[in-house]
Amino acid sequence: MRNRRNFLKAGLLSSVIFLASQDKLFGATTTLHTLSIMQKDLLYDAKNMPSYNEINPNKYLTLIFNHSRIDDDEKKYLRDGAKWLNEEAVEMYKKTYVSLDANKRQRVLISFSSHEWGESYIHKVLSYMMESMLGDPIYGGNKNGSGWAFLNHVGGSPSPKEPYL
Amino acid sequence: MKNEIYDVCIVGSGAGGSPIAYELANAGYKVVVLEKGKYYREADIDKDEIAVSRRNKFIPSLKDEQHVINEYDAKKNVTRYTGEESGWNFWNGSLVGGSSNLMSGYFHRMKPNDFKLLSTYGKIDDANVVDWAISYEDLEPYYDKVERVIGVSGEVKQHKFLEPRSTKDFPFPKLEETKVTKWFDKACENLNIEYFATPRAILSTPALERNSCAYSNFCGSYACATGAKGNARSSLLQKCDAKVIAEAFVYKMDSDAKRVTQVHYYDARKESHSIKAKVFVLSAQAIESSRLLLNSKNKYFKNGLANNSGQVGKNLIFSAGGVGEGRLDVKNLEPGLFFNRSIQEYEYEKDSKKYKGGTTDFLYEHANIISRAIKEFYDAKGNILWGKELQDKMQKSITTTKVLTFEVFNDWLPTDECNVSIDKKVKDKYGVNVAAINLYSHPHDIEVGKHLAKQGERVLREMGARDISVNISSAPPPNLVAGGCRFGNDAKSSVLDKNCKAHDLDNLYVTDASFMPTGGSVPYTWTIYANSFRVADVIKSLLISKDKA
Repeated sequence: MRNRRNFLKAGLLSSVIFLASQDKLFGATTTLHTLSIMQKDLLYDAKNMPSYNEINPNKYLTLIFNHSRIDDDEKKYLRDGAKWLNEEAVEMYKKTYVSLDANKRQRVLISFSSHEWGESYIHKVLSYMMESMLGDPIYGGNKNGSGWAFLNHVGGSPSPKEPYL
Repeated sequence: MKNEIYDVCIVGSGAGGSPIAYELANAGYKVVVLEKGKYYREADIDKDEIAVSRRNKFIPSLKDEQHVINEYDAKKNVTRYTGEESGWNFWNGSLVGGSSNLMSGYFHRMKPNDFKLLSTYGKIDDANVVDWAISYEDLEPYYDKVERVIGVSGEVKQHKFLEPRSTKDFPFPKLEETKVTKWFDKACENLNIEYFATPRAILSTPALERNSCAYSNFCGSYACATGAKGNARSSLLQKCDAKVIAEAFVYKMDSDAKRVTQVHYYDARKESHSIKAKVFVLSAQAIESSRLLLNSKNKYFKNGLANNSGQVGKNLIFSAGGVGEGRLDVKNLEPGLFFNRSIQEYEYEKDSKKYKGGTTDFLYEHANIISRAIKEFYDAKGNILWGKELQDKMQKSITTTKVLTFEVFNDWLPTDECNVSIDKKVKDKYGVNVAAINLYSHPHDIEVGKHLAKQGERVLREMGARDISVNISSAPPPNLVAGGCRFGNDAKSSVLDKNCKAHDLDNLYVTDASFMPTGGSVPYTWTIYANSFRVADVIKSLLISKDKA
């Protein structure tokens, strides 16, 4: 794993991640903004899948960050991963991930996925996207059952009356 | 009510405890059931995959309650894991009715030879195999009772290993089956393998004042919203006047030299309460029952309650075996219909020696769509996918194919190394020392499992399945756990007598799967229910004779 000592610690989901290397500041972003862009990129050219707005994955992640059954290590991992992705972008293009164009972001993702830790992080973010896309619509994603329709799935019945938080 | 003395106090509301509550309360006795989990009734139940399968709604958070696992490898070196750090989870279902709420209800009786493994198949080195203190004939009337009271649906079909039955057929017809079962039947016939429809503890018709199955497609791991599943709450606790106290964690049992006098529990606010009773029944599931006894030391029982033999916690067993799966090209299946098929190779010969075999159940991959989607994240080379590539793979795989899985059940041999003790360092949220699960799997278990899996693999191949994979391992299935308080006729080598009463105490019974000295080669729930009904008759006779006296 590469050295991340030059990267300042990020705090909460919406707190700012400063990206610096060799005393030079390359930009700043937030965990939530990075994840939002990354989630859109993980749907790249997937025209048959529900749209980003139908999946609503960023709102779902906000819920995950406040969930009683998600422990602090998991939340820290989600924050750290967003930082690592930006770090990858700085190393490749000297820019934050969120400030790159779509093609370059795909190249960053490909490079990121070649590291074991990058691949694990993509798996984690995709897993939460699947929860939002295919979980009960009461959680704010899977709008109008679009995720279930995509996979010809019949959702469980009875459906929940309230989300489990 | 303060100072109230119950006739019977039961710790744990699952398949081990509830038959006692049902029988004794319906006989007019004052019964209280203490359950650690919450009370969910049918109206509270939904099929929320995120809550149940992703966030583990029905089991404790490992941060609050965990186990320590000391794993022995083949050379008997030990590695220590804590549940919280490793994520290794041995909880099954903390709710009224226990894990019977969440079972799939694959119901098989044990066979007559399962009750006399030692005398039938002989000694196995480094394994503590013994014969049971009762026979199949002793338990058969209670297997039959479970069919009628809990509700077992199925269709008896003659086969080489069919156990003797006192009735001709199941009281409820078999559940509706998917068309793919026909492929399975044909494949077995081509291979000359005997098969039968898996009996299920699920009502196929409205009966027993309960609804029939709604074929919701979400059964195993989920609680039942119709009451069709033969869980202990729907089929027993809701049909008697036993008082159920939910969110009551029992942390200690008090005793004098001969009798348990009271139990202490914490409520949801961690306030302590006590219950007094004439008879106490412990059924908190195998690991937790041993933990409670070992944590209940007093001046009469310095090594733990009912532990003069030193056997409490010993000979913990799971179900050995594993799983296999294959992918079938099939579209437009009827969602919710069951794939209920089993084969049994309960005995086989190898190198002129007779071996005890086991059971293989076939079932569809779980309906959980999130986990099925996640399984598609990688391409054939092991690269993670996203975007259009992931979309195409996921859509093709999930909408045009179906994964058929099989599960192998064979004996997990009892050994000295596999047992429950108390961890000296780690405590739960109540401040009580947690159970240490000392894990060891005898090499014989894997040998038998691999033999049985070959037949499952052959059937999948004959059906035209592709991407076939098999995983027979020493990993313990947490939902198939037994032993720790084995019963027997010798008070020096067993904890309980043949009626599951502690040898050392006059009024303590243990009626979850703890009593089982060997496990059979089937899921345990039917046997736990049947044995608990048997012990209920013993306790009832005892109370009646005391009333008369």
